[in-house]
Amino acid sequence: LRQFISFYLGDGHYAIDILLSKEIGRLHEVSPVPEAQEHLLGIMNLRGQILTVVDPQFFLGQRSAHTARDRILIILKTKAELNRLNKFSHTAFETDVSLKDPLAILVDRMGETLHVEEKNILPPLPNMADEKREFISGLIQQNSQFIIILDLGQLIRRL
Amino acid sequence: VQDGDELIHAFVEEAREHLPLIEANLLKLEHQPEDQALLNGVFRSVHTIKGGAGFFGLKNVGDLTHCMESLLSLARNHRIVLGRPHIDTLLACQDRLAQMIDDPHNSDGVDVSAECRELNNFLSGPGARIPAIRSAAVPKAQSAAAPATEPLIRFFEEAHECAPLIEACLLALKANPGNVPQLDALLRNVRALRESAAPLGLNKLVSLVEHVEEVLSLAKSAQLTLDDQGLEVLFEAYDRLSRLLDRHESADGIDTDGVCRKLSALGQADGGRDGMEDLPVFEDAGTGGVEAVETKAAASGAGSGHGPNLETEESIRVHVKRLNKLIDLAGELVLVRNQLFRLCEPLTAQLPGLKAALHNFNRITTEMQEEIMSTRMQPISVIFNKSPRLVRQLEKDLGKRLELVTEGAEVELDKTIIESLSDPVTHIVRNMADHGIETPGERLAKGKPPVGTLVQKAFHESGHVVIQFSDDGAGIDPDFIAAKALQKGFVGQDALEKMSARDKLNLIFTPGFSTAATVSSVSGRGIGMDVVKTNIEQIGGAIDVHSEPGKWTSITMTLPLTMAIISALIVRVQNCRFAFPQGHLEEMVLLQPENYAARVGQAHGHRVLSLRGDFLPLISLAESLGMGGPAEDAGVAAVDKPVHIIIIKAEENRAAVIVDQILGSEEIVVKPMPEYFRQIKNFSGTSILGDGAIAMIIDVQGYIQRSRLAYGELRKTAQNRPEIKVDQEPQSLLIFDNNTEEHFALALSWIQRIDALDLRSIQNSAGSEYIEYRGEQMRLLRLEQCLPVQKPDGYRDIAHIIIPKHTKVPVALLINRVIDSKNAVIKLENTGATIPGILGSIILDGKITLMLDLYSILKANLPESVEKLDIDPERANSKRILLVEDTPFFMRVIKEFIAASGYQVTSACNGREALEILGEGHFDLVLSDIEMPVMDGREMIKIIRANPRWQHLPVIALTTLSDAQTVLDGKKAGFNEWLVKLDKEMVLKTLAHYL
Repeated sequence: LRQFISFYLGDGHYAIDILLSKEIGRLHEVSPVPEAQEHLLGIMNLRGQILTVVDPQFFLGQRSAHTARDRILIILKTKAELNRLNKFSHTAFETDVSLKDPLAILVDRMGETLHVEEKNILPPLPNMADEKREFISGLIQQNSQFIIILDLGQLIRRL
Repeated sequence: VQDGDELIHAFVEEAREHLPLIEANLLKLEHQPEDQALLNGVFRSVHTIKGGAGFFGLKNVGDLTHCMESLLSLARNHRIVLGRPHIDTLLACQDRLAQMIDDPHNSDGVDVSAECRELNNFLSGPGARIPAIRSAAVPKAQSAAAPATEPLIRFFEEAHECAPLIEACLLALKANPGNVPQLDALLRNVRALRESAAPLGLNKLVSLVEHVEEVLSLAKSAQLTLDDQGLEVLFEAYDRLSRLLDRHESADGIDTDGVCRKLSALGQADGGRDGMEDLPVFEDAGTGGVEAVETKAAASGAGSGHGPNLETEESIRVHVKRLNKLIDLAGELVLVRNQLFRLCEPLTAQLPGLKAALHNFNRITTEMQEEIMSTRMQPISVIFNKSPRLVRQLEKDLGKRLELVTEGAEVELDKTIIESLSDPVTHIVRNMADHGIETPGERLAKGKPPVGTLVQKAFHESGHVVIQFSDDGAGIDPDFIAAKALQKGFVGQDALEKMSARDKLNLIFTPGFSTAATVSSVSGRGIGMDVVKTNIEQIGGAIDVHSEPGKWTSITMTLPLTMAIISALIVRVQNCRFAFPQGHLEEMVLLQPENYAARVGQAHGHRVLSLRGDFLPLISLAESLGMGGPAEDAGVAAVDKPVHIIIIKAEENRAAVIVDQILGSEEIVVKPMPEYFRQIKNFSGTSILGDGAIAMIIDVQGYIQRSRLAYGELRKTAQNRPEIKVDQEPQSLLIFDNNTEEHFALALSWIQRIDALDLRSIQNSAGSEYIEYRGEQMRLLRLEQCLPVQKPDGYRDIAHIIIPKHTKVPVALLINRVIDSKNAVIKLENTGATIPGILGSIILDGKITLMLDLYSILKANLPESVEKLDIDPERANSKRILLVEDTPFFMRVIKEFIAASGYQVTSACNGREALEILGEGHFDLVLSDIEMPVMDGREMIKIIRANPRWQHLPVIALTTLSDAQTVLDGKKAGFNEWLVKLDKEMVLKTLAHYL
């Protein structure tokens, strides 16, 4: 059984493995970095660490209806934090997400936490547009809706 | 396996520390071959490596070090004197060792036979076999050991013959542990030694030899197998033995206890049952004897010779990672402290004791941070120590004679910086020896000493470390460099014409530049100087070359002390903060709207700022970083608000950068830019400021380059103007504070005296404060009452007063303490022109410092202290004065007070300009500085007095020099008066007299 946290961004409902997330926070005093690409919102001071904030809407073809201040940050675990996690848990958590520096993604609002069995995770549908498929690692069906499991590894490689 | 790896790692680390020592000592030995301390040093280092090698079974390392040790033993025993060939070979061995130590696991694949053979040749050569106790050694033994009688001397003679035999046997046994005849011979020699030593009362020696004898007997009776480890212990015993023989007079300091115990252990471990009965006897004898000796040594104190083990300093090894973590934490702590201070500030009044606690906290934090930072510091000697060897090799390869002078080897730099200096230094030393220093023949022909001198030196300068290399060689001819560069197509003819000699010299840093007529093995491969430059710039440093053709060359590197914490100026643009490292900062300029049109112009499609005759490209930080924002008028149209400008520089290029606000300077902890921004080149890192905000650190070098500023064009523009000022006179300043964060500076020439003041002696009278000073009632002025500056929360017990010169009534300015006094070139802008009493701000040692105008302060706050001169403004208004002054600071101050008296003032920057202006119109008087670029005051007065038109024109010298001889010479040269610059009163009086 895997656990996912889900969130909303624009019209989309997405999920990521709960183990990848470190904490949920709010955006405050983000410093834009001049000349950075638009999906890199800036950097902020997270308890003395420099946290880079990414807005994934540009990758996912979504459009957030909220102002940045009202949006939610999902702060991801860095590689070192994931390693520490694996050191103390019995089952190794494998992921291709590998962050050297702290990173957070900006979403509209949080959804519920999902418990899903591996076998219930569906592959991306063949009729999904290519550019969207790039960031989908799987689907979770909930009632009549599909929640997209975000391929964070791919997203980070594109940064 | 893990443990083994870690251990071998420790061995490698230790060996790496010894290798440079070996090298350094060998090089010194070449000049002082008889120096026992040096010999012992090398021996000890080699021996330590040998020991480790034995432990880890590094056969080749062991063999090589052993052979080295043998040769060194001979030298130590005065059997040979180490000459150049010996040193050559030993150095070659040291190289080979270094190679093996770098990769210990594969060291056995390295061929050491050549080195060993060479060493062995020395061992079997003349001198080695013939025991020759130097006559010098005998009296030494005699004088030290009081009852030294003939038997004792004879014993030592014998022993010195015996010792090499013992060693030879041990060596043979090492090669073939089962060699019974060798074992027999060894036992025989050892026994002989014991027998001769026993009656002489050499207890320590006897005890040691007995232990050895025991082990050997066990080996002989096959109760013990002499493996490598066993042999190692025997070698160690031999080492101690030869040391005892060498220095029997200081035998107390030689520790034999350890090795005796090891020998006993050897016997016990492998000795089998039969040996057991015998052992206790020896052990008693051994330890008992040694203990006695040791207590004696302890009692006699540190006076006698120290054993080598005592010399090691107390230290532990800590992984750099851990230190880095500590540095990070210290940085965080500083941030938290700053935040805490801000939060607690309002509470200090309500909470007694809080302020003191915060102060303590502040002090401890600062101290701790400094300490932690210093753990990463290493002395530059780590790098400098490599040069002697290099120079020696170069002498040989190039057939030149070189002498290396090292200064400031103790100057410390961050480990990272030290590490990246190694290659650049090698390159520079090579280049200087190869290209710089001439052959002895050439030098003699030029009248120079045949031996060329290379100097490497390090010193601190305004928060940086400067490393300088210089030679007294042929120098570099800028035109030769230019011709080469042209020939290679690095620069065009037109570009060359615009270049100064210095620019041309700096062409040697162009990639691919090589000037050696022939490409030698030493240098001249066209790589090097450009790599040097890149390396130095990567660590935030700068490099510069100066030379006088035919005489000397010097290469100067300016490096930051550390890279983790830097002092920076924080500025704001829109809602972003940026940090400019202090090292790249020249000054700050506040441009008032009314001056904008006069100062900002357009050249070659760029905005330029004219700054004291120089043209600097003027860029808006917001614009250049693509931040858009309020539509920036890139033209030269007038502005309605003051413009904040900072002048930055990287190498020779300067630029004026417009920012929205200057927030102040701060020590910041540099954090790397997150990897996600790697394609952005403008920033060298980020930092979290004291208030928690983030600042991006501007990579000034890259920023200036990327702004594609047409420096060539600008320079051309600047050069079209005849001679711009080059140097400015430094002014002596007193820097002080008022127990607030602000720093102040006053020109020393304004100050009569500085004194301590007991605050309790201040009296209050009619709303003014007075002190009794030298029998006078002296009015006391407080800075915060006179100027819009921070108010101190009081002073410590002792405050200080500054007593100005030439006041009509006694007056003093209360300050907290004097921080420093220094000579600085004041680059001041009309920053605070609106505040009377403040001339403006300057950056001194990374601190913004307010320059005070003492006379304005006095005039505004105690008018009666300043003499009022009766100058009729109308009369004054009809007089034209030409003021000649190159220093903008003085120009401004003097011009201001003369103009305030009503005179018409025209200014000129130097003598030549003054003559031009004099030629164009009528002037009633000339006030002139003496030391000026282009044409100084002395030359100017000659020309003025030579012209009949100006023969009676009053010309008054204004200087900072006023000794009698100078004044006399000045008056002789034709100056009417010779005045001290800032003595406003005197200047005005004199003016009134002449006009």
